[in-house]
Amino acid sequence: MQKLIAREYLHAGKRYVEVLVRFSAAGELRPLSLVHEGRVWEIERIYSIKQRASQRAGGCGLCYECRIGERRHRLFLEGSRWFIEAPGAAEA
Amino acid sequence: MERTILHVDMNAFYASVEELHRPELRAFPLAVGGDESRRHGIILAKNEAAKAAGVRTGEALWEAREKCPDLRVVPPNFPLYLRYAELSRRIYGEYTQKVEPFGLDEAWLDVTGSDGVALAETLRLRIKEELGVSVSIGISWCKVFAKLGSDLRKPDACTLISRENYRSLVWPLPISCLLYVGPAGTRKLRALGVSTIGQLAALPERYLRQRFGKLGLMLHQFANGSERGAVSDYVAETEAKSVGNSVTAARDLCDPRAVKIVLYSLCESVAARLREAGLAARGVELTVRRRDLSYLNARCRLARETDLAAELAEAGLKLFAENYVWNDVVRALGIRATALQPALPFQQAFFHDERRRRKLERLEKTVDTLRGRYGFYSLGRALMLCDPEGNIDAKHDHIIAPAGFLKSGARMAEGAPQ
Repeated sequence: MQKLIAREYLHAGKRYVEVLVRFSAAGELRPLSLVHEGRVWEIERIYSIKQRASQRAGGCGLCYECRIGERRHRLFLEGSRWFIEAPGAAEA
Repeated sequence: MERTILHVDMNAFYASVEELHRPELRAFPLAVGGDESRRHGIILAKNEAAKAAGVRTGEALWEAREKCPDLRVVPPNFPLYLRYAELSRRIYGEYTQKVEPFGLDEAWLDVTGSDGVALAETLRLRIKEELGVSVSIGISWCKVFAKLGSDLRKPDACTLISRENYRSLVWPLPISCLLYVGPAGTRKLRALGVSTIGQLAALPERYLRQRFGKLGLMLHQFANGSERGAVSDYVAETEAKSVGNSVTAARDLCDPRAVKIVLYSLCESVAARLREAGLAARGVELTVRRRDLSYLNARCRLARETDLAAELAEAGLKLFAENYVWNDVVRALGIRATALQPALPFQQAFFHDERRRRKLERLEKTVDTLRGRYGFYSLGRALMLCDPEGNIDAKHDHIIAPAGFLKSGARMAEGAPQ
């Protein structure tokens, strides 16, 4: 019998990251910082929050467009995990 | 006021989701296929490139590879597809409460009062942007034509079937395109000289009713776009008329004991589901598929209603022993609890077999609780030790089951089991 196996897809364009999140009393999530390549990066500003698919990373989720270290990045909330579009991966 | 119905169809759904999640495979013909070693090795979905090479849904993997040697096949990931189905339904729910899913990848929406064409276009773009998959949407005044509309142009398109254009868009189509007309239905209609939907629509309703009964009326309505089926509320539950489980065994079942093991597994699932729904069954239906792919159907009525696996299995095994001739091995088994009624509350145990029954009931309910807490395989019948492969968690594995368009379950005999 076919079991409901949840598979994980690992490839260069998608990086799951550790994120520190604040929950407001109203239930809003605000990512504060993330860990990437051993370093903690502060999420300085959030420009927009929108449900979006990422062709580069291969997936979809709630996309937080934010400023990290003077550059814009897209951080996605996929269910209960966070991923970023890894730089250098080809846009499909 | 005329209704506005949308039918949204996610194109090549499983394959599209896999393509999104596997960028490295996007350049290839790609298919999602079952596990060959467990004899589920068929094509479940294919992408555009595979389709162009002739790969067809439902055919064996080896057949597909012959046509398309470069084909990449990936195993299905149902939890992922379920997530996308849920996300898409959430989007639909923002526009209307009247959403009727049809499997994971399709849904009808009743958006009467809105501009259907504009809304369809909005949905098409939103789903592409937010979920990363493409959809085809049909817009019309009834469900059947809305579905024909979404079938007309794939992928990634919206098609309006209106009072002005339905004769030119729908009527030239072959009858096999019509919902619930399968190979057998097509044959029967061809024998009457009918090969297009337009020809079917031209036949008098009375004639079709004479030939096909209630289904004839349905055919007439479908072909003329006069069916008035409502788009069921997503939230409303349909009442089950029967509860069943079936499985294609990983290896052919060659003796009564192998059959017993699988049947008990299936009955455990059916019984657990009955108990969960507070139902009991007065009838049991057995379906057996032989290695040569022919079917055997048998049914019986029970002396008293039951929601116990042991009693369902006992009835099923009796049906099997009385009806099956061992001239071929068994490939697939199915058991269905029918004639459902609410389960009666606890009765006083006056008689011996009533006491035994109470014991069985307490036992099975305890098993439910333990399985709920520690997982399905935390405990099981000793019988299962004889063939662990026959031990199946039918209740939780593979829960994809599209609700029937016709709630009564009637359909044209599509090569139905004999």
